[in-house]
Amino acid sequence: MDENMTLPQLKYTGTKQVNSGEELSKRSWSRLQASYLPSPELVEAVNLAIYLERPLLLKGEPGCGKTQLATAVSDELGLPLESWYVKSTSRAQDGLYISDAVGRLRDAQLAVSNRLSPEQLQRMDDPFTYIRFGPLGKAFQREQRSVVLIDEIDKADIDFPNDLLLELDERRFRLEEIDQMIIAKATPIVLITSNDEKDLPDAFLRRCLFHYVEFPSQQRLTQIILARFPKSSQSLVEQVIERFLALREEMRKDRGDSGKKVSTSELIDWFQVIQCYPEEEALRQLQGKLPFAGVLLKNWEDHVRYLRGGKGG
Amino acid sequence: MDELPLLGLFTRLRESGILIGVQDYETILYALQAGYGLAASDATTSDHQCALARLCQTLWVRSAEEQRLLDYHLELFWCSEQVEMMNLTSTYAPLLPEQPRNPSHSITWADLLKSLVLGGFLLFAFWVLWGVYEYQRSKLGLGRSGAQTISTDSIKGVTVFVPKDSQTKTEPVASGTASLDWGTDMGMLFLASWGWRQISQSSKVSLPNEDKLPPPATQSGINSELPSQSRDEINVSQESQQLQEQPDRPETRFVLSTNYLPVTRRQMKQSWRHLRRMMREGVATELDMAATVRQVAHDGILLHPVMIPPRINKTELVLLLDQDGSMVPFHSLSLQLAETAQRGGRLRRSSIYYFHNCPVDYLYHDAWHQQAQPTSDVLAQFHRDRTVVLIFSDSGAARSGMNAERVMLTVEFLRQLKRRVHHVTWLNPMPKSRWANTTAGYISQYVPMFEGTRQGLDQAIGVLQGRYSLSI
Repeated sequence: MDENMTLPQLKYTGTKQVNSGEELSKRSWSRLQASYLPSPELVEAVNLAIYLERPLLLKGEPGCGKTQLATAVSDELGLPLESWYVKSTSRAQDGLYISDAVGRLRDAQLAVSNRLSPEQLQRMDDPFTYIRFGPLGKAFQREQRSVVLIDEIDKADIDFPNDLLLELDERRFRLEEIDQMIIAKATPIVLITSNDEKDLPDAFLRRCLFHYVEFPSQQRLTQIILARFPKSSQSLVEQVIERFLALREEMRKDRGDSGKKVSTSELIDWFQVIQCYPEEEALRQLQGKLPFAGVLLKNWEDHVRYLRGGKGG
Repeated sequence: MDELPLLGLFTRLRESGILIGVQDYETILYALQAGYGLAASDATTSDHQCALARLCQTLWVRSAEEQRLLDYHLELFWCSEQVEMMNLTSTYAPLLPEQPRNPSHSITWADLLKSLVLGGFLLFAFWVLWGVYEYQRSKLGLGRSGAQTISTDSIKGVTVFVPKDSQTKTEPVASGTASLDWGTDMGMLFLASWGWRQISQSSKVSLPNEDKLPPPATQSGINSELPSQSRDEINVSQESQQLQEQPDRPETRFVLSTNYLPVTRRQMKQSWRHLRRMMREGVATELDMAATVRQVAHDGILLHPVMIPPRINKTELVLLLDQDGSMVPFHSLSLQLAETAQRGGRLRRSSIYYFHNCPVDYLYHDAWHQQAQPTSDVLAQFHRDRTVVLIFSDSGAARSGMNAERVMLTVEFLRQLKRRVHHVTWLNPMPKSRWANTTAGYISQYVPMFEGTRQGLDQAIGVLQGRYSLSI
């Protein structure tokens, strides 16, 4: 119980930001990406997930920072991050381990024809040689907790989430090839994102905590932009966000709540381009036709419809 | 009854169709103990409400629909149970600064030793308490205030999950399920907490209106490792049962629920999942182990592994939905059929067409009959082996009566359809007893027709899978 004193409960605050120039200069762009401002509700949900040791399922419109959260959490807590980007062909097994049967067969063949060195032969005897652990498998074996990101889980087959139930619930799995049980030493913090393309099975949902990542308010958008581009002027940021929100509102009116609208990540890209120009130039451009429209408008219909001159035009 | 906070809300949410169980309820108690869902003590009522609502939302809600249900029930909850809300804050607020559970399960020798000593001490304390308790009991003959005289404050503070005045050392045990994987000192601590519980429960026995609980076990049962969580579960389910049995609670009499259709969304999704015709198709990505071994045996050496394409569901579902007229009452059912097939069905493709009364020259892409496509064009797109067709229509059974022209047109359409695809079935929202002597009765002789119930849907999907023998 003394361990409690030395090992404080992990608590995510969402406030760790890039602070000084030296860090920026080291890995400027990737660090910049990592500065992330979650809403207090999201922070609370993350802490609940950490405390209750349950996976946290995140939904929200594309580009609202679901995937980024995992990086932010692992950065702030100083925990290793295991990312698992799910594809339509992914199977649940891939996240635990992959057994390289073909490699083993090949080595066996080479051994028969005496083409292997003694070291290689020795290596063959180790059963773990042909087992490659996936993100969950690696996280289970660490002494410390790690952050596991299962990205876009809805892309895979319906069996995928169901096959993960036991592993997420009891935090153990069996290596069938060498008949060994792997039991998690520390419960990983599992963050799952879904784009809501397909519904997830209820049995899986029941085991997750759920949070819908909302689109940030104007004030928070300003904070986000200022956190990423600390040197930019307040008035420019406000102008850019105003123009951006006007476009978003127009899109919402046209398409309703379910259609694709410009997102936070696109705003960041857009600002990245605009701030390259001197401020007067940038402000002048904002008054006219939507500048750098290619960053925001992603199909031809949008180009025709929204690429009009003037504010609110 | 008020021992378990939020139980009324939990029960009502359950009844209205949100899939939450006893475990979810335990989770929220556990989170409350850790201080989640509670605003600062000097916050306003609305702050408290927001904090609690957020917690419920994170733990219990998984879709927009469930969110609406939660909002509705929370509103009721705020109105009816202000008092409980206040109790909740006062019950859990003192626990806020407690040390949370150790996330890593490693135990050092020092810990073990310490817990052994502690366990021994608690065992002793428990033994003394038990002795006093037994003595009091024998003296008073299960007297009313027997247990209360032992330590009044312990009974006051006892809620089922948190013996408040027991030292911080016993707190992990109070945390339900999670305590199971605590470690080796669990057993010792368990005895202590079990003792508290024993006392609190037997004190409950002596209280009026609380005689439903099982009688306390005999002393020999102490050492058996009775999982603490099962007892909690019993309590939760018992109390929720009691709550359900109360007939005169005005707010429990009417439950806002979305599951009023004969087939729920969940059931539909489950049924659609059975509709699969797996075939290997696409890029060869899977290793064919048997074929590889065979080839090695043949060639004498492994040249290259044999790969095969993965199995995917090739079924292409076509839903033909009758719209308007006598089908108006069933629009929500057909909408759900369409939605679940498209989103939850994991089919290769599912296309939906609308018609009115019977499909004739044109089928429509939208429910308002605006985007038309000639029926022959639609039929031409169907694949003979992969496409299956499900028609959803009352076929005149709702209005009853016989319409010869409708029968003729429908039969003609079915004949065209069957020339293109193998499997066609018909789902009728009206019960089978209403089909006789109506248009539906005649049409059902030409196509397997089922009621719009769970069994009906399953049977219809069975037909689309090719499991059907004409048994008329």
